[in-house]
Amino acid sequence: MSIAASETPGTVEAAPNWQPNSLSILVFLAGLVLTGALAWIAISIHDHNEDRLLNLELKQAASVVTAAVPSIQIPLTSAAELAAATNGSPQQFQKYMTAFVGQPGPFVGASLWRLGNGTATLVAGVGPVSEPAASPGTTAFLTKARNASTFAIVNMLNRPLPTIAYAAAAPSADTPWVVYAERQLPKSRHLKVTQNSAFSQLNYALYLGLSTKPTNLLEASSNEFPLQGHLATASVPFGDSAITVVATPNQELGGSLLARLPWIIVVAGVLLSLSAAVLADYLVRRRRQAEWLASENRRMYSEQRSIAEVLQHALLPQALPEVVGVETAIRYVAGSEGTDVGGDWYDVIPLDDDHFIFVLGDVSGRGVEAATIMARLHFAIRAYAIQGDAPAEILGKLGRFLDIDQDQSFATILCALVDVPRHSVTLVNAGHPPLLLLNGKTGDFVRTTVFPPVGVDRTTVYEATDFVVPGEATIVAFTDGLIERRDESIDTGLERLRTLTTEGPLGLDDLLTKILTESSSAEYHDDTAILAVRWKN
Amino acid sequence: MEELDTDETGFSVEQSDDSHGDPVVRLNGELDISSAAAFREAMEELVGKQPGRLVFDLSQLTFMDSSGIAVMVYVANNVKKVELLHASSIVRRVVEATGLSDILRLEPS
Repeated sequence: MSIAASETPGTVEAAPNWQPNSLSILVFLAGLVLTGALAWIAISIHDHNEDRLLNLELKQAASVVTAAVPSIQIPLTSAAELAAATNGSPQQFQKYMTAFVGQPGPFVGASLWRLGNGTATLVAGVGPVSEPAASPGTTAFLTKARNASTFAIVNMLNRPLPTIAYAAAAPSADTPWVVYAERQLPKSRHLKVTQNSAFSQLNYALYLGLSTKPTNLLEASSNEFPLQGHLATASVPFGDSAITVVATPNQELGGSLLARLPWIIVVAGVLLSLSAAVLADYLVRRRRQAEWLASENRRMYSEQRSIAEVLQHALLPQALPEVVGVETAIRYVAGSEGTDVGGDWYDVIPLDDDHFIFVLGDVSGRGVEAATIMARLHFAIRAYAIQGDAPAEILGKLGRFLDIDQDQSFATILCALVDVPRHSVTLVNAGHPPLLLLNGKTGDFVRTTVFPPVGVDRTTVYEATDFVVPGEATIVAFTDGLIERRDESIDTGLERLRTLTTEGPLGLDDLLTKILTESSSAEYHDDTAILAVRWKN
Repeated sequence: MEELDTDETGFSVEQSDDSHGDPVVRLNGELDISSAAAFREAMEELVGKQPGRLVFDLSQLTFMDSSGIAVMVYVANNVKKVELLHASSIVRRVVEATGLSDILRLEPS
């Protein structure tokens, strides 16, 4: 018997509850990493760009400072030239320098000196601010200025009125005339930066000399001092000293978009990562759901099959009743085509010590419907048999239980009454493949009238064929699954079956095994039932 | 000409009318358990039109199992005159072996 109920389907998850799955977390994290990388790149680009722009701005600012140099140098050297040309005329000097002293400047006072014999002598002065005392320090400074190719500078920023002193001689050598001038810086050295100037985008500080110590501060654009943040420094020559510009941007030099870009990337990246994670989660859930549905379908499918199987299992006798004088055996192979079981059945019904009825039937179609029809016929035959009806009567009455117009099926049935001691068989065939009779080394199909199957026509009158079998004969009934093949006539299948059963004596079980393995077709997987009866003597 | 394609095994039905205006149903391929249900539906629709005469062309029918025969019997039971033409020997033998020669009267080929 191979109608074991199908295995219960594997454990089926209930509809999945929501919980973040590892794929969506992974997608989210990958998105964050990518976002971080992009933001870092944007920040780097931004910083690099700001650096570049700051340096450009600084250069521009430095060039402005450089441009201021002549406004100091030209008056001084021109006055020195004039002194040389006029042999140090105080009137000429005063007349010339007046234009540069006081308002508008640049100087608060200027004086003309003559260097000679290691001392400096004041020749003339302009403006309210006192000239330096004629001292060795003054002489040294003026001498330094005379020997330099440009003007000389003294840092006097620590005075109450922060001051820078300048001195310059005429470029032509060997002149004793040196011009001295002082410039006062405003007390507040916080200068407003005008828009569109070279400094408009910068906070900056100007220092005299190369050092940026506070005492060197010339002016700054901000009260917040010293400057904080991203600093850039440049120095430009100023006389025999230098002016150092320190600057930091007071706004985004590269524009606000570039500055916001990292944040835009972060926000967009996080949103995209979230969306991707949600999408991944959705897809994973859809797949889980599909898998769940598929397994649910499989379960229902196999359940459906197993309903029919259980039904069939319940109906078909698991063991044939013992009948004195004969050996009986059955084989049942469920078809593998599709999921439905077929409507094949068999039965052995003992009547008394000498008689029994055997039945082999096949309801056309498959599934629960076929199994249900089979059940009706199975029990109806049993009931009629036990009340003493002969096979022909039984089949004639079965039309009450099956109508092809309603049930869409008919049933082919072999039904036989066997008298064991007499070796006689009363056989009725309703559309069924013939009974095979094996007698030692010869095998033949029992010739009977083949009546229409049950369910086709209720008016059919079935008639039995009686025959006697020799001692130790075997009769084999089977359903068409055993012989039916698509590419050949059933006569060919019948002949194949007949010949393979005549090759020497076999035990009944071995015989059925041989018939099943050698006759049934691999290509056509209909259900197959075989029932064999062998006389013991 | 209507066509009914039932399944991957390649069974199909073509329906047309003959010179008398009666329906002619041509069966192609293998009529078995996998195609019988659809074939039955198509035939129920046809039988519902109550034709006085119905012709089956079986020349292209290569195989028929009991579920296919059941549909043919249903048609034969419900249409006054059914003609079954050009059955192959395989189909002819299945009908004979099922005891239905008197119900499904196959015209001699």
